[in-house]
Amino acid sequence: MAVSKDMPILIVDDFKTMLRITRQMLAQLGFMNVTEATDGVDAIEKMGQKDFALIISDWNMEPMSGYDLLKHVRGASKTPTVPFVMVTAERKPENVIAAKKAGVSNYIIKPFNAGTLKSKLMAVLGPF
Amino acid sequence: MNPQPSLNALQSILETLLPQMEQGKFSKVECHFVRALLEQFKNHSRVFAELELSTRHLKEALGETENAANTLLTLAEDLQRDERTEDIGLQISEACAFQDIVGQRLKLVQKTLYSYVDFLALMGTTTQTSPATIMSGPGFTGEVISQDDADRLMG
Repeated sequence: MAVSKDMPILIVDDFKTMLRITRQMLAQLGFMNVTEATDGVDAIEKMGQKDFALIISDWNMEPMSGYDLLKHVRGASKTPTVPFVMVTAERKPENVIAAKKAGVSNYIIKPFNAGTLKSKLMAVLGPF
Repeated sequence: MNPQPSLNALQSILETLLPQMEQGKFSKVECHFVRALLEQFKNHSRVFAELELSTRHLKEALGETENAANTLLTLAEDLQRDERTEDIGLQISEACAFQDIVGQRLKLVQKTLYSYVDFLALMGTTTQTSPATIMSGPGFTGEVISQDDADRLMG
């Protein structure tokens, strides 16, 4: 099935610079329907207002981390299969393994570029 | 020559008293003081370990800022020569991602320094300090995995 470039995407990061950069990269890839959240709690609030086809989240956020958000998303009745890409500076094998066990769809290590983002999104969503 | 007194040596001496305390050879007040002093030493060790970690984060942050500045300067020079104009805006944006990584490191340092300030404020009034919740953060050069490693772990 072809990937719709209009799909609603939620990006979650507590650094506004990173939200801006991720939004720009997604725009470069053709994805314009992007909503921003500044931590896990804000993300859950946004998910209550709108259904998202893809979540791209940072790990290190307070008060609710991206890892806790991932577990919440996988445990919620509406979102157990929504693709969830973790974008993080957490570069330890145990972090990747924990995220994988919690059901992450893919794992991107910061800093990253548009090429890496595209390849990981294609791995999750299919070619576009 | 007598050995130089040190906090570690004093801590060791206090620890040797613990078995005698168990045997009831000290008064309750003496036992309380010895235990309180040992607790203070434990807190000192934790705080100094966190401060040492903080200095490493600052060193990494300086290197990352320098690398990002060099990348931005190279891109700016290319722009001045009117080369690679199609992708240059995106590449400059990507290079600005250093702010996120550096910001995370500085946040960790800030958190540690705040906990140290709290610790100093509590010294002398109580030995009960809440342990700082230290995130592992971005990690250090040579000690972290690459995107390829993460991909292999993801399978």
